[in-house]
Amino acid sequence: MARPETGGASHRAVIVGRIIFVWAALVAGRLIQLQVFEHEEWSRAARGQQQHVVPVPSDRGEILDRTGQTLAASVRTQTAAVNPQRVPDPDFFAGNVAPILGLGVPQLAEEIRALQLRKQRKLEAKKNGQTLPAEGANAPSLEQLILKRHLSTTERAGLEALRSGAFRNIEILRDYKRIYPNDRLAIHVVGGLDEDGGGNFGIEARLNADLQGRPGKMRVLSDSRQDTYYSWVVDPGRQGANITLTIHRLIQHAAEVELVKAMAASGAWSGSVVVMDPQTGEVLAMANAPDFARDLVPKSGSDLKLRTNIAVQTPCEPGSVMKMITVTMGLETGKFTPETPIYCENGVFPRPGRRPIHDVHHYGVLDVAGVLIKSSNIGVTKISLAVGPDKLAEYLAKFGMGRRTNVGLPGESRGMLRPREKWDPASHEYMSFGHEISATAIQLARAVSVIANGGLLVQPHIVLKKERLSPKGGPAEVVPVDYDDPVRSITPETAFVVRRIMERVVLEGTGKAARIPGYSAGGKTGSAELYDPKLKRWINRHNSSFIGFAPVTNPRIVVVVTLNGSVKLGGASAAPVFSKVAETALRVLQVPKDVPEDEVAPTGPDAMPTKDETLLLAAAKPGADLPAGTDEEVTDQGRDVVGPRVPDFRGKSAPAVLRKALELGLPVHVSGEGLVRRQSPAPGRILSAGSAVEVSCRR
Amino acid sequence: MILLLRRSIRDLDWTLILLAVIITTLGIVQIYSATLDTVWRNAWWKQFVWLIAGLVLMYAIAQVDYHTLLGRVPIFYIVGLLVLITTLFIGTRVFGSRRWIPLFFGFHFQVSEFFKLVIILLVARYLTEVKSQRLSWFDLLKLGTLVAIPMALIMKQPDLGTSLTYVPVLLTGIFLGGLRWQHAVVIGLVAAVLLPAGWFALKDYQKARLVTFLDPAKDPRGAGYQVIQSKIAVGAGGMWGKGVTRGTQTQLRFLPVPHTDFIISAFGEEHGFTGILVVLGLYFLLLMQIVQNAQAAPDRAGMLICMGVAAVMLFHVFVNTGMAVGRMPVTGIPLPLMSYGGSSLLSVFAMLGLVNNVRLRRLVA
Repeated sequence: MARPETGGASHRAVIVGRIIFVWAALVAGRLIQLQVFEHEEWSRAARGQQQHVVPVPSDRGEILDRTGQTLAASVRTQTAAVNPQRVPDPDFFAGNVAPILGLGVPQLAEEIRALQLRKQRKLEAKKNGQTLPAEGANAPSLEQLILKRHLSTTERAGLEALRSGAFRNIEILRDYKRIYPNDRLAIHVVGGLDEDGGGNFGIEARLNADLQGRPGKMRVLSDSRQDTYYSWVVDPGRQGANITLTIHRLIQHAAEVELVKAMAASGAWSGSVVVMDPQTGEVLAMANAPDFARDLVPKSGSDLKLRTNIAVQTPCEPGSVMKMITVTMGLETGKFTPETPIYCENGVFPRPGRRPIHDVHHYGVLDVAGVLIKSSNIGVTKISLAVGPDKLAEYLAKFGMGRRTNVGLPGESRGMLRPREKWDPASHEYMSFGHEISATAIQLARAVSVIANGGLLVQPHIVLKKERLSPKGGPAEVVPVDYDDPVRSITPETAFVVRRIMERVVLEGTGKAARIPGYSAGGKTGSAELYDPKLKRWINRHNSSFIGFAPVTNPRIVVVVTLNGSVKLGGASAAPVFSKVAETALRVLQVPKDVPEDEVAPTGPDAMPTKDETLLLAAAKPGADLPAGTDEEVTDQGRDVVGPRVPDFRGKSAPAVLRKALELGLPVHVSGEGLVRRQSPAPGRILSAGSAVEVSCRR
Repeated sequence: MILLLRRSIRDLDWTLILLAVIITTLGIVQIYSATLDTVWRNAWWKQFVWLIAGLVLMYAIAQVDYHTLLGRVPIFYIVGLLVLITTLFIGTRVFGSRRWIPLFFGFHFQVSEFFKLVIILLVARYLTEVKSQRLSWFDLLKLGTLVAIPMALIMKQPDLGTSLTYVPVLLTGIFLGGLRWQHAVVIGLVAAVLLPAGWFALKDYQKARLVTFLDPAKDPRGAGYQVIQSKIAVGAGGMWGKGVTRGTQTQLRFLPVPHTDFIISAFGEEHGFTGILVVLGLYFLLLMQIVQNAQAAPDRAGMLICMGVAAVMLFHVFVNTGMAVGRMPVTGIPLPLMSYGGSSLLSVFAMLGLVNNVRLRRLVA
């Protein structure tokens, strides 16, 4: 060592230097371990605590009627929630929060404490290695307590003030509220949502997945205090689709109104009306009774039965309406013509070893047309006997009996039709007039459509189209909806012949009450008396029904009316419903009238529609609001009408014209300013399809 | 006089100064990055001011011959003890609740930081005055007691970390000052017996920190939180780091005190393994430069002063970086030069002033 003063110290300093080096090497080695070899692991740990994936709820789609009127829509709302485990003092919390939300202070505090206690128990149990009894799926979340859903603006503002202060633990969540602008209209079809926002009946349930879309995912970067810094969408999800139904709001309304009236008049327990386009299978209206108010949607218990869409879910014995199929079979197989005489045994047809088959009225000889017109059980039994059970089974299948229509509503019944091999030897006799078999209203609508559209079995459906809105506001994407192609069941000729016979049912037979002013119509009544198995007797209540179509030459609609538990027969209770509903439907669809309406034209104040009906029907009624006697063409109304009549706009202001036109559903072009001086077409004339009313104004 | 001044500036250890300034500058950048959008956002600027002040202090300390300083050690020691005792009362009253995460370098902390200088000088003087080449038991006991008194006062504050920084000065001193190997073995044995006994003297939070150090996952939300967050930050930095102001652990406030005690973790996250290696390399060079100065010291006292400084610095860096990578318990001692804090930075530059002081005397002597 150079310097004696330091002695051996310098040598020892080198040792210290080496220690420094060893330390540096140790730390470097540790760093290599952390940053090079375990880098991925630690990065994952970092991401795990910094980034969270949160769902982005997708907007639930709307449900519209075929005219684009909203039946169900969602509005965004906000919901307040809190993690009860993060509430240090439940009383203090409740004391501040509950008054803002209109909740009870002690109740809220108690609720929070209860959840905290349960969490504590759970933790203790876990610590002690015990397992608590498993909780059901409906057990409340221990980490989230919904304080109030669908906050009002004042509630929201109050909570925001609290949140910026001591109550950072209050969460404001995005939520949705379903609104139904047409309230209970078509409630069984549209359906409703449960508390969690999922559909629980009707289209809301059946097309829940389409309506709901798929929630997207968002990644948020948040700091140690869970304040969010950045967020980015990792999965945009899928918007809910808008569902346009085949339902027409005005026809639906008429069906519901008439059904309720008929229920009252006939004392029926329940009933349904289906209006369908026989060519396409589009369901224009589907009404069920009894119904319920939107805010009283039954949630549990026996009331749940009210949610049943009877037209689709509840089959009943069709009774005499089934004779339509039997007669068609007789004609189509060539064994009968409409004029073939059948001996109707004067009302009592003895059967070997069984009770004889009876007719209500006693007939001698009827031709085949007469059998259907008079609704003779004995007549159709003889047709069925002549053709044989195998053919009957075949024709029931051709008319879609015993098979679901797949109309697109939940819980559809396939009706009751035993397979051929399980038939009793006499089954085909009773089935020929609608016993030992049952069918839903929608099945009957499909069956009568075969006659109405010239022999094709169509697929009834309730969804016109599905459109998915693009999240960025681009054009809507149309989701394809597939329906079965129509299948030929019978020849057009047979269908035509049966239509003519069924027209006579309305004109001269059991269905006179079904006549429609201004339109030809065909149909068949049905009444099956109900037997009470408990009382072991017939109770003089009926499944009264009517199936029909109009106009006869080229039917645009079929209507099925069923009334369960009616004290009146089908001709008296169901047929008038057909008349009223069909009349509205044909007018709404602007179907030209094909018969003079003189004989049955409603006259006098009784026939005038009620006030609210007027409002609803005004848009559909051609020639409504016409100044009486302004034009001679008014008198021949009903013969050649192919479009709506134009009211007198002259002398009105432009806004008034637009309002009126909107009300009537007329397209109108307004030019100039001031009051209307000229209009084309002239008042009272018919607006041809595809053109608009030209109105010119001057000051 | 002017000649002397010029010469004194020229003869300063410019390598040492350059290394210190580079490390401090890296620290300032990291403080800037780690305190963005926080209440500390002006800290980097204050640290810059402290750096200038530190350089001035360093130069000033280098001017007074360290032999003169050694001669005043008894006065420094007694005055220092009095201040420590005073702050023990004032400090407890004022900062009693602020000791867990020392965001503020309170007055009590400042005194203990600067008392390091006194300890370094004390050890150097004592071991220089010992006549023999080999230390006797009496010498060891006397010196040990002299160091233990202020340590006890600081532990009482309570500030275990800082008080422990005095130990390496003492150990290095007696090691270089002629500790016999037999004595070393006995001291080692006594320490092995006393350390478990010392466990009972620790405060609860201190025990918790030690337990946590042994098993951080045991209580990830509590005492282990800092260690885990620090390891995540360092590990997530990877090879090249995430870039200045891009460290998510730091920016999202998962990493505790990223501008003071855990600055190296924040630095490691944003600059990666390469960045940390550069910094550690700089520290290594700095320490070797101090050791170099020790070897070139004009006398035994100068050598002991330089080695004392090296020992304190080494201990700080060793414990701090060890803590950041989960190899040392959390003791709350800052990383010299890089960590934000005026008293810490000033005391380091004051120590570097002592080193320069020794260097300046080697030619004169």
